[in-house]
Amino acid sequence: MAEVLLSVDNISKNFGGLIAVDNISFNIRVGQIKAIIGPNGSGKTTLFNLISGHYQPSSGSIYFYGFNITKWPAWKSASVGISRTFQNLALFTNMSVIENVLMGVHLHTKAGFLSSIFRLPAFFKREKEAREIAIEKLSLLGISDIAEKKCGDLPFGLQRLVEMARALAAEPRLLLLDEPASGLDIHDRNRLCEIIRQIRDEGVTILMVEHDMNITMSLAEEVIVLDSGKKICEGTPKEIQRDPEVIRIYLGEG
Amino acid sequence: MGGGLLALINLRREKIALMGQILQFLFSGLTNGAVYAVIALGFTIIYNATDVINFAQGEFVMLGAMVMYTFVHFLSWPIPVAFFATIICVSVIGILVEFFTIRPAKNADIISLIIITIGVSIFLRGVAMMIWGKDPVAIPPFTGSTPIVFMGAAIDPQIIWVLVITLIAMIFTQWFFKYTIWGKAMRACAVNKKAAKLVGIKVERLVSLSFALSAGISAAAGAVIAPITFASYDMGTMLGLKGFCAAVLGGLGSGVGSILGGFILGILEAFGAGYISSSYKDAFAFLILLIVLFLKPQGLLGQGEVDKL
Amino acid sequence: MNIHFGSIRYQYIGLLFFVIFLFLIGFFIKNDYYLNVFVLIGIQAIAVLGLSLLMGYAGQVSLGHAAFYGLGAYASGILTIHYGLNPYLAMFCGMAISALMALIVGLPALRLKGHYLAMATLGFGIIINICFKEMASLTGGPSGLVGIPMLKFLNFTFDTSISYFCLVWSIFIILMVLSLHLVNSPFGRAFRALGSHEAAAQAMGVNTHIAKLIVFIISAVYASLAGSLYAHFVTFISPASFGFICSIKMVTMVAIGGMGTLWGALLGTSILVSLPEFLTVFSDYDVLVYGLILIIVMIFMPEGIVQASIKIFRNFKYKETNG
Repeated sequence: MAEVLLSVDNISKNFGGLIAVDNISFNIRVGQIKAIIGPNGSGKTTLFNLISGHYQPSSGSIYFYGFNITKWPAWKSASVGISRTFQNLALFTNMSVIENVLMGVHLHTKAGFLSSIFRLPAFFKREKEAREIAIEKLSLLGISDIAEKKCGDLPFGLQRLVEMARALAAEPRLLLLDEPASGLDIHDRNRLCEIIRQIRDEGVTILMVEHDMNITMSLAEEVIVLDSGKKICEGTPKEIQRDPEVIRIYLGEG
Repeated sequence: MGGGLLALINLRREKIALMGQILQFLFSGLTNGAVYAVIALGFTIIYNATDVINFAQGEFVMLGAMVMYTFVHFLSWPIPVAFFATIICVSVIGILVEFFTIRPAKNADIISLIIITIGVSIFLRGVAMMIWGKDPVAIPPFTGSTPIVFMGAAIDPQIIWVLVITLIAMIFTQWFFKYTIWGKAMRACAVNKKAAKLVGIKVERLVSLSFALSAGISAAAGAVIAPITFASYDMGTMLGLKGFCAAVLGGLGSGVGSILGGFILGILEAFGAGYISSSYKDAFAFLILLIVLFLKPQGLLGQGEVDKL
Repeated sequence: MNIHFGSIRYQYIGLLFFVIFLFLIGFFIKNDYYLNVFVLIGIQAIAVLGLSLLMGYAGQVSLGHAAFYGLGAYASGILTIHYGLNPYLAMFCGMAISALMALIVGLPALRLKGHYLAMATLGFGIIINICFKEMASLTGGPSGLVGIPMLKFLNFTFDTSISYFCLVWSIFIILMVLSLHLVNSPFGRAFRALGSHEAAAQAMGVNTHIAKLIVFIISAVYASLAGSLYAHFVTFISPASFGFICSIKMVTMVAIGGMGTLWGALLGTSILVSLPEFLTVFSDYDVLVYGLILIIVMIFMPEGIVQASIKIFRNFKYKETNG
C-alpha cells in the first residue's frame, strides 16, 4: 500500500451556529484519485477550503506528508504542493490565458525584484523558461492555441481547462478539483476524464468533488460520501453503491 | 477649625466646578454624538439598501441647515413649519440624487459608486455655495437662548432640542424598520436582494425610499444643530465623515450599532478635546476609528463576514 | 519569443510618442503659466501612478493617499528649512518616512477587506492632515511653511518653469518605465492576481498580505516623491493642499482614467488637473461643474476613459471590416 499523502483527522468547521463540517477523518494515499460526493450543502466545498487553507478549521488537524499543516494559510499550503481549482471559476480575468498559467509556474521560479523592474538579462531568461513550462501545460490540455487570449472572453468549458492548467503549472503533489465537470457538455466531459487520468499517471494525487456520478464512479478509486457535514461512508465505488445509507440519502433526495 | 472649614468649602466648590465641567463635556458630547448618530443611521440605511457608502451624506445635513435658514430667514415661516418643510425638501433632493446618479450606474463597481457619491457631494456643495454664498449664516434658536443652569453646567436650550429631535428621529427609524411593511421589505432587501425581488418586493422603489428617509433624518439633524454651530455650504464634509466613523464604529449595517457608535464617538471626542487637547479634537474620532478597525474590524455590533469561494 | 513581449513593446512605442509630445510642449509653450500647469500635472501624475498600482492592479482602495503626498512635502520642507539638510537627502528621508508609515498603517489595515481598508486609510489621512495643522512649531500650522529651497544640481538651479518641467517629466518617464516593467513581471502578475481574485491568488502561492503591503509601500513612496517635488517647486506648502479632498481627487484621477492601466493614471491626472483651468469661465462655480463631470464619467464610463475609448475604437473597426 502506498504512502499516505494527506491525512485529515477529526476536522470540524462551524460558521456561527452552523456546523458545516462535522468531525471528518480520512486519508489519501500517493497516486490515488479520490472523490467526495454528497447532496448540496453537505459540506464538500467547505472541506476543500479547509484542506487548501482558505478556511481555518474550528477543531481537528490536517497532515500533509506527516507535517501538521492545519494552521497554514492557503499560500503556504500552495507552496508545498497543494493546488486547487474553484467551483465557480476563479480565473484572473484581467490577464491573458498564459499569464494565468504563469501564476502557477511562478510558485517555483524565484524572481528578483530588481532584475524584474530593470529588465536585466536574468529576467528574460527566467521569463522565457517560465513561458515554456506554461505552454507545455497548456499543450497537455490541448489548449496552447489560446495562450494569448484574454480569459474573460473565453467560453466556459475552456475557462475550466485554463484553470486546471494553472493548477497543474504549480506542479502540485495534491490536486483539489472542485466540480471540474460542471458546466461542460458530454464531449468535454469525456475529454476531462482522459485528462484527469493522464494527470494522475504523471504522479499527481487527486481529490475531487463531483456531482456527475458517471465520472466519479469511473475515475475514483475511493469515494467518500458526506451528508449534512458528516462522513456517511468511505470505500470503493462498488462498495458505495451497495451501501444502504448512501442509497437512502440519494433516493431520499430524489 | 475655621481654616479647616474653609478648606472643606473650597474643596466642595472645586468638586462642584469639576462636576459642572464634566457635565458640560458630557452634554456637548451627547449633542455632537446625537448628530453623529443620526448621520450614521442615514449612512446605514443607504448602505443596507444599496451597498453604497454615500459620501454625500454630510451634504444632506448641510442642505437641512441651509434650507431651514431660507425658510426661517427669508420666508419668515414659523419654526415648526419650516422644520418639517425642510425635511420634506431634502428628502425629495435625496430621491432625486438616487434617481439621477445611483440608478443609472447600476452595474458600476463599488469604487465607481463611491466616486459618484463624491461627485454628488462636490456638486451639492457647489450648488449651495452658488445659492447661499460662502459666508456662514446664523439661524435663530428654536426657543430663546437663555442657558439652563443644571448642577453647575450652563446648557443651551437648543441642546435639549437637538437631543429630543435626534431621539425622535432614531425612534422613528427603528419603528419604521420594525413595524411598517416598507421597513420590513427594506430589511429583507438588505439581507438578500434577489430573494426580495422574487417575493415581489419592488427593490427600486425601496432604494428611493431609503434615500428619502436617509436624507430626511440627516436634514433634521442639520436643521436642529445649525443654531448652535452656524450653517455654511461646507459644514457637511466633516459632519459626514464623523457620521461615517460612527457607522463603522457601531458596525456597518447595524442601525442600533450606528446610534451607539455616534454617542460613543461624540462623548469620547468631547472629553478628549476637554482633557487632552482641543486642537486635536477632530483627530480623536479618526483615531478611534483606526483603533476599532484594527481590533474589531466588524465594529461593535456588526456581523463578521465569511468569504464565499 | 517576440510575440511574448509584444504587449510591452506597444507600451514602449506609446511612451516614445508621449516623450515626443512632451518635447513639443516644452519647445512651443513659452507661457510660464501654462508650463506650470504641465509641471503640476507631472508631479501629480507621479503620485497617481503609484495609487494606480495599488487600486487598479492590486485592487486596494486608499482614501488617504494625500497623507503620503503631504509627508513627502513636509519632510522636504521641514528638513531643509529647520535642519538645513540637502534637498535630495530630505526627499529621500521623506520617502523613507512614508514607507515606514505605510508599513505601520498597512500591516493591520491591509488585513481588512473592501470598505474597511478604504475607511482605515481615510482615518489615517485625516489624522496626518490634522497633525500638519497642529504641529505648528515644525509645520508652520494652518498658514503653512514658507521658503522651501529650490532644487539644485551642481551649479544649476531648477528655478525656471521649463527646467522643472524637464526634471519632473523625466522622473515621471523613468517611473512609468519601471512601473510598466513591474506590472509585466512575476511581481506585477501577483498584484494583478490578488486584485482580480484574492482566494485564487492565495491558491497560487501568493502571500496576499505581504503582496498588498508591498504595493501599498511602493505607492506611498511614489506619493512622497511627488510631494517633495511639489514642495521644492512651489516653495510654499500648507495643510490645505494635502487634505481629504486631495486624497479623493487622487482616487478619482485613477478611476476616471481607468483602473488597470497606467496610461489611465496619466490621462486621469491630466484631465483633472487641467480641468479647473478650462472651467475658469465658470469662475466660482467650477467645483459644481467638476462634480457634474465626475458623476457623468463614472455613470457612462465606469471602466474609465482609456478602456471606454478602446472599446469605441474596436467597435468602430469591427463595423469597418464588417460593413
